Amino acid sequence: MGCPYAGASAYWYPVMPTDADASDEALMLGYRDGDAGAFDALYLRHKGGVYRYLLRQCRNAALADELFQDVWMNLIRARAGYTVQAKFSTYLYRIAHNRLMDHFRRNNPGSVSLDDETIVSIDEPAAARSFEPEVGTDVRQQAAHLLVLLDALPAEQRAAFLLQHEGGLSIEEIAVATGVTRETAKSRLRYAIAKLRQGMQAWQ
Amino acid sequence: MAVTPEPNMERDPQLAAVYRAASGEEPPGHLDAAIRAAARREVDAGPARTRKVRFGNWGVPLSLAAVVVLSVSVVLMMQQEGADRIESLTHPIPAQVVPRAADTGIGNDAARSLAVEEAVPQRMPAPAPAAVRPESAKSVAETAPQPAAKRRDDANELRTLESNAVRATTAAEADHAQGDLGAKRERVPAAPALSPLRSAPAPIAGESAVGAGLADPRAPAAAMADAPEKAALWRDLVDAPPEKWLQRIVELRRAGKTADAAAVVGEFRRRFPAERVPEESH
Repeated sequence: MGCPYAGASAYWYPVMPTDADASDEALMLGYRDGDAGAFDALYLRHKGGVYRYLLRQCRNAALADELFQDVWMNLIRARAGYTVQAKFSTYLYRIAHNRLMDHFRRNNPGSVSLDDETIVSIDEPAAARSFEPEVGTDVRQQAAHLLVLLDALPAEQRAAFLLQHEGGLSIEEIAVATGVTRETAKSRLRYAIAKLRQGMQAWQ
Repeated sequence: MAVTPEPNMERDPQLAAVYRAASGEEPPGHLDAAIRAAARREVDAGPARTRKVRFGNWGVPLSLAAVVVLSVSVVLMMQQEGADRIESLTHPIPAQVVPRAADTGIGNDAARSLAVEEAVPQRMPAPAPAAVRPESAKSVAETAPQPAAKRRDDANELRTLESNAVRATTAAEADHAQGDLGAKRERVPAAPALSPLRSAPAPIAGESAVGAGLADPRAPAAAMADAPEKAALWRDLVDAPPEKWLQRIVELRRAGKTADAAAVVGEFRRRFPAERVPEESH
């Protein structure tokens, strides 16, 4: 792959040919055992998704930068004790979710917790139809509208949607990352999708 | 109208496609550099696993070694303390008794040994107090060693027996008493030669002397040696028959020399235990 790094550092860190094919768990184990290149590969794979997850949740770029750096520093410090107990992405996004919760509790103690289960009513007709983007509509406009709708979702539903689309987590993995039951995670995700779909249909 | 979402609504490919088009944000470059540099510093600091294991390898053995050392030290200290305590119980200090023997003026070994014997706690049960009967007195005499108080009791008993023997009205009773007295004298050689016959209060006041007399088998000769003037009273009667002795006793009593008469009586009884001593007539 060549040099994956293009930063201010004077060091050039080659990426091992096998790093691209290695699983996340194997790369993390390699980093635990002293392979800094394995960490670089991991970081490249997941930095965008973690950053956007935090950005969508806190809605502040500066705060997202701070939380983002904290998440990766926590991962680095915990490398010695890492063992494969779940998917690496689940492990990583659980660190990100916990760091986010710590921020919310410290700054807004009375705010609604992301772990709260809220039942939101959904318009049946809109929910029954699948979302089909209108031909000719600017995709970027649709994307922008989707982000607006996403921002309007309850935090826990938004988290479920983002974990699925940014982290590629399954319902079970979303439940582990957010510390809720599978049914709760499933319900949140379904409500989030239903609302987004309804909102997109209504916008079109 | 509230409606439960339809099942199988966990995924929507169209929404996913639209969302992918909207997700272009990336972390700034300085964050990338900082994070990757921190990751390399963590690796360069040394294998965290090795450092942790090193401490983990030595922590438990050192703790166990410390526990063992402390336990052994405590056990040894307790054993030494217990040994010292046992030794103090089995070897009491008798030093305070020795000056008493010295103060009495008796410097012989018998006095000192008796003093020590008095100081040592008597573990043997004390024999039953002897009644004023010859049989019990005999059994007491046969029990040795005896404390000084007990020997004092024996001397008093001997004196009582002697007085009973003198007052006896029948020859058979007197012979029996004298025979018992003689038997008693044979078994208690020291006491009759000393304190009971000198004077009445002497046996109690001269406890150490009595004890010294009982403890020393050479007491009769010693008593005679200590009273040369007494020996002179019967020097001329050494080979004389009992009648001569009795005549001398009567003469001394008539002369008012009761002490001399008592000394001669004592020697007469020692030499002629079967003979009867006449009563004092004053």
